[in-house]
Amino acid sequence: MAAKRGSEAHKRELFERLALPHLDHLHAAARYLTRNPDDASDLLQETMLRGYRFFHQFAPDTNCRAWLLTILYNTFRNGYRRAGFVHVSSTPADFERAVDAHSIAGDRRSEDPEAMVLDKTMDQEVETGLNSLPEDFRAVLTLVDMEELSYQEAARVLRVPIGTVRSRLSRARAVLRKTLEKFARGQGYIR
Amino acid sequence: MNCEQYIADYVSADADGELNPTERPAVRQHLQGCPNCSARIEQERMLKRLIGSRVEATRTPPELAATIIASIDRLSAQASARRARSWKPVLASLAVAAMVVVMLMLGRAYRRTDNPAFDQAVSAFAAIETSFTPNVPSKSVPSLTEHYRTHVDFPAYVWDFSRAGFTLTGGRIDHLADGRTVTYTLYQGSRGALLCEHYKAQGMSIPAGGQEVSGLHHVYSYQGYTICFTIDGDTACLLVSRMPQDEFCQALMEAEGAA
Repeated sequence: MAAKRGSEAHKRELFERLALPHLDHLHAAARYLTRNPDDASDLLQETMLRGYRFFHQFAPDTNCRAWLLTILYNTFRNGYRRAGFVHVSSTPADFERAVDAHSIAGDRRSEDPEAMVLDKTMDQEVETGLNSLPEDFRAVLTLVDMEELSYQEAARVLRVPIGTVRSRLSRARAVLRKTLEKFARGQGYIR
Repeated sequence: MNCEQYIADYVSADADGELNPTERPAVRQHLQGCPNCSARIEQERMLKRLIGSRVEATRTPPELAATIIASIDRLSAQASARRARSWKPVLASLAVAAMVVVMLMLGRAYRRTDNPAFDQAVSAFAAIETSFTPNVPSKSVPSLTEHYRTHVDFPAYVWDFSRAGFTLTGGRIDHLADGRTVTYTLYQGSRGALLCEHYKAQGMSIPAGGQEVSGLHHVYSYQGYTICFTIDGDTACLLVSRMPQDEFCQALMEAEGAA
């Protein structure tokens, strides 16, 4: 072990080993939170610097990615909301209603697995679909499906009960599927 | 359980491996006899994978990564420079407390610009001033006291600073870098934030040069903050604020009066 315990060099080494490997995941989270590359870049820098400054508060045997994401979401909530940056255009309920209204009424094919094949060619649609979701839905999908957090960890980051994470995820995925299905019908992927 | 129920209430958590143990038997049973729902959960997993693949697709641009690493290196260099300016002998792998004790025993003048326990308190204060996540479900002095009593193995006294104009914001049980349990109790008022932390002292001594208050507390000005340090048995209590020292001592005495 090169650096002395408690020294700055040791902290730097530990940060590089434990925190920096999560940079891409943190970057993705920042992108889907801000939906804007410049703001994402600012948010990511702010987060990593804070992470480094307060790294002595991180318990090394716990999930570093979850810890960094807590900082990211806190920073976003405190800094960026104050600047009036985030505008949620609709509540998740409103959004669901809007999506439902455009779906073919009474069509049960959306529950039939044969009706739609999700595959890699839907990359761009997934991107667009995700960005069109209200923040609450986007956040749970980001934390669980992209960041691979458990429901418990996601609940802590978002400061909501676990039950809320579970129900939001279920609804968020259902809404995203419907959105993707709309795209697919539009593109003629589904007959 | 029918298909509608499975899809409405369980498929999502099932795909995440987050079903409650009580839910699993009924779900297993349904899936065993239902090819539609078995295929449906595969769809859910596929959707998860598609969303997950967005991380690969949105990699950090190399220039951004380089900028971030450079800023961290700069922070790191600044911190090293600050530590290097200290005259104290370099002691490898000793606990914070041991360092303080050894310095006092050597009888050297204690330089207040280099106290690791105070550094930790100031860092914690700065972090908490930015963002505080309480993890104790109590907002009153009595309930917080009770919660600490039953959750930590040292006495974590909860001050009542209401007379001094501070409201109790909340409490947090956490850990220091060396693993020791620490309680953080945050107060807020028109005069800013006031943080109280408690942890097991492990042989700490009161640094010289403090202002004694009520024969128990020792108040210091440290790097632009005011710190009150108290040792009670083997528990250390640190209060940190940006209030000037005299104002801080005033607030302490007002709080004591309330006890």
